[in-house]
Amino acid sequence: MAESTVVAVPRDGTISITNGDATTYTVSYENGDMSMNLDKAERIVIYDRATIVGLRAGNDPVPSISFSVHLREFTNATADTLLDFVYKTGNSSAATSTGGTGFEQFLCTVEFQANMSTISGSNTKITFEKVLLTASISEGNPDTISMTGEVYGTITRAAV
Amino acid sequence: MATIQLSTIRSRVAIALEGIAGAGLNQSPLPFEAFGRTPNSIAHKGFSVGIGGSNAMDDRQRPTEGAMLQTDLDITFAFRLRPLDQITDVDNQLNLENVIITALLDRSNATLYPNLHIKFISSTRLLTDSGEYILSTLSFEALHFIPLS
Repeated sequence: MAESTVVAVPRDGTISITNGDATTYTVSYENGDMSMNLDKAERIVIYDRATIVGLRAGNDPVPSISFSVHLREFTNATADTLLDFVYKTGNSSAATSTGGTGFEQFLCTVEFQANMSTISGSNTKITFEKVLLTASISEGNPDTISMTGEVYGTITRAAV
Repeated sequence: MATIQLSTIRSRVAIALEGIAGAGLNQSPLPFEAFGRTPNSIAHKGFSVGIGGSNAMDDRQRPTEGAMLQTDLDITFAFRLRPLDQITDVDNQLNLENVIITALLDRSNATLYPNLHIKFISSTRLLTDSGEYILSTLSFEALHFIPLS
């Protein structure tokens, strides 16, 4: 099948966060400004008297993702909120990490899906595993939560 | 935050203004843009609510959430200056402006405020050519979601 010619826009996007209990929080009331870098391993350039003669892979990168949402609630004891979900507090205080052995911090899986199927485009997604999410909050019109994620797991791209 | 139509915002504001105890404000039968043609007999403390331009804020504009808008909200009202006590009535008119601002920023008003944020922006005054009325225009900004489904 040929590559889709339908271009994605913010209305197509959905961000969902899943914890180690397979509980998923779908992000809503957001700005539609998801950004991500898909860096590759550190580059070790091999020179021979100033001429590049080889390239080897060094340390794995820690790619980053970011998005922002409108602030609605800092915490809730009986329903999931974004901040509770990523800080393991409130209704998510008993959640488990997706990190597993060797990963101390609370990590989640983040998925970004762009669904253009209603206008004959693709339905495609990218999944970031073992993501450490942190938030910064600023007042404005409206107030904003800016989320940043460090990706310590694999990144997979797939059709939905 | 649930969605709310622009017409609902306009009518809620009008109801809030007419509900100010002791203010004596009455909605003009003419739209905001034609407020200056309000008949003289009902002009004193007559007002009109205008919905100005709307700007979409950054969001995904999903049908399930609606589209977030920042909408200009203007209120104009007329205040008659009594020929022999004009300075007193200028003060009365200014006080009425303050009463209106206070009423619209009263977030405890459960009829006006559901799913709506209102911010005061500016006020201007104009003396009519005849010198009989001061026309005040109070500008507010509303933050809200309009329905997409």
